Amino acid sequence: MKGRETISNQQIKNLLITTAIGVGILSLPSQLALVLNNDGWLALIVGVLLIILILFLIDRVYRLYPNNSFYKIGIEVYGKVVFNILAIISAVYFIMLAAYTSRVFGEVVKAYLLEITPIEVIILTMLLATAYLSRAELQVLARTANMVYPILLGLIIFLVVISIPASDPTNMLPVFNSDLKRLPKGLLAGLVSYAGYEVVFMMYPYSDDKDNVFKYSIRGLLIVAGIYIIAFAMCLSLFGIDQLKRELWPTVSLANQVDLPGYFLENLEGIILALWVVVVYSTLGPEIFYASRILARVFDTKSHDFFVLLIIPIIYIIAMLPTNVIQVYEIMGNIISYFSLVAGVFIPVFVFIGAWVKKRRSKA
Amino acid sequence: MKKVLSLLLILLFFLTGCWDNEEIEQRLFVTAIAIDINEEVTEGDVDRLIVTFSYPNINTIGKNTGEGPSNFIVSKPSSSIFQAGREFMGEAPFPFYYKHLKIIIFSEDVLKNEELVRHVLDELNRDTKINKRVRILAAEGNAKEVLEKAIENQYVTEGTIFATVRDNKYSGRFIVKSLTDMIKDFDIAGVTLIPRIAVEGDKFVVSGSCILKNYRFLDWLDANDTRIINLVDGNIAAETIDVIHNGEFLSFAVTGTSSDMKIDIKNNILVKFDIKLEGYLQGYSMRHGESLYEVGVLSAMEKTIEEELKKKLVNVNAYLIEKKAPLFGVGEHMSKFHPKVWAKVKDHWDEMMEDVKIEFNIDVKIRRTGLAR
Repeated sequence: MKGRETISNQQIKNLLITTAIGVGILSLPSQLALVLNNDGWLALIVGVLLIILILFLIDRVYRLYPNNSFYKIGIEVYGKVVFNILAIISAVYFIMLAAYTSRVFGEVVKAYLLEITPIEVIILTMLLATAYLSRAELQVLARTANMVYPILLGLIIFLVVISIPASDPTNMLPVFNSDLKRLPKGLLAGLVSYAGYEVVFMMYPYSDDKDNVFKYSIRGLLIVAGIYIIAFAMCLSLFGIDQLKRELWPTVSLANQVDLPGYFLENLEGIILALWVVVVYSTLGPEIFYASRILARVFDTKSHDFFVLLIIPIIYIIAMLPTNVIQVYEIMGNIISYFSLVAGVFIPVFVFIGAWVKKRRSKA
Repeated sequence: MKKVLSLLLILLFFLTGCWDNEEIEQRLFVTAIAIDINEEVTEGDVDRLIVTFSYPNINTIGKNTGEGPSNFIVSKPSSSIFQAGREFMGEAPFPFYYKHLKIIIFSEDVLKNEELVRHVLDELNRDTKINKRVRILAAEGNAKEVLEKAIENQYVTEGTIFATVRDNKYSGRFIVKSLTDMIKDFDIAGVTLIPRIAVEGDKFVVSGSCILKNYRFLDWLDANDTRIINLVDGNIAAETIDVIHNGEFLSFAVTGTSSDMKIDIKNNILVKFDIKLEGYLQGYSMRHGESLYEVGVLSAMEKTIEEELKKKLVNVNAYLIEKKAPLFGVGEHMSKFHPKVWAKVKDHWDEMMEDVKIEFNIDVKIRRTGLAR
């Protein structure tokens, strides 16, 4: 660790928000609608409650072992071998997530903006630009998040403003009419869209005010959930349930649904996607950063920037594996949702239980 | 080394940039598309449509305009809209650009072929460039002809047809439908209304509507019946209703309507429409010595209008039931507010319609009488 790097809780909150919101927001409304019909927002709410619980456990862990990094706590509780395996799983998860993010990014940009540019070029350019960010230290990422956060809010406000005139709120009805047995499946989709909140686990030791990290990260999480629910409600009230299910990226398609007078304002998805590219940048950056950071810990190197360059080609290759956009969502998306269960739910709970048991024993 | 590097970096600015730029004149902005059936199609030929594009002559827009007609029209047999766009490449100087597409006109014959309609709609829905608020119209007769007529007296860049239908606040004679609305209607009830456009004399006329059921042409509906449906939807403003009152001609100008649907579900489904109209008296053939300010005159007039409208409503409703075309939005309302019942009936909704009782409560208020007493 170089020097004493600290970031403020505000930055942690923003980093959490910008990392969690990325490519998922484009497809999430229709994915939720497919599983839970009009009640898709339920999955978002249950998902956020679950994650709050996990963040609470993480907070407890850090209170049991103050001034330690998550990795050190893990090693102390479970020993090197076991926890290194878990750490590598998390690293693989972040690599997969980055691959998924960059592939979806490439697909969207190719579909809407750069029709004749090869997707390889789009993805590689993005990855290389992001590598520059990922090689930096945590403070730099945090500052980037601070910068992107208002842009993200601007994007959401823009989306709401352009879609209000054409939307019909009664399309939200009926509520509570879907088969709640499908909630777990929807929850999985919801959980993937929150993917990236795991960054909080590792940011704890860097906070300058450790007592309040929990409070701020909950706040951030609620903002993420709020943005997702707004996106879902907007899409649903504009498209109606049947048409929403048909859309691949309903949040961008919103732009095609508005009819404003005049020629200039007609290229709305251009504006939306321009803002969104910045948001993806701040999602991909932390993902690659944490993948290499974990690897650096596991292999005990001084800095992580070497690993960034190492995993960029891997991310690129994984991103290019699916042969079509259906495979991206069906296969890659599913694999990631299971990974996120392990990395985002199982590992923290596992570490918490171990830490708690160990502390009790040592007290006894 | 540093000098070479900085030189290279500076060079970047000069070597990249607009090498493949496109001037705005080098794009053809399609504003309207007409789709007809290709009657000369042979067995196994995929070019079943005749697709017609209309696009403005960019050179005639703005200051220092050039010469030539204000709009161009091209037409070709093709298998689909975008296929036609590609085939036109050989004829048109520049590629087509669909971002500003405003109007799509289907001919009656195309609408009679469900498969073609589904194909075209899917193509439109899938495209990333087309604005999904593009207005859909049905041409009685030939769609290409309508487009040609529209261009002859074109004075708006985005197209006269679009200017006519765009913000239809003033006329109840047709119901504007965008692509999204149309697909939404099909999803919920399977039935939709799109405005009818036809050539009359040397002009085009938008009036009345075309009923589509399950992506297929069902029937034409004239302007008066369309107005009645608009009334049920609460969409009429600035229309005039003419009735005979006490043997005299009376015109009532509507300034506002509201319509409220209530559904009672006990044994049968009972639908109640509360329709409220407000307006002023446009004209009435007054006899000498008569005054509107006498007790009961206005309310008698209101009553006459109410009865007349009710008669028409019942007629249109009977007609729609006969055609099995549920158009009053009952299905949509039920799917939102009575989802459990709707789940049971939606599959045989067409047959159910006869058993559904519809009541119309019309409340006409003549608020003002103009300047005469």
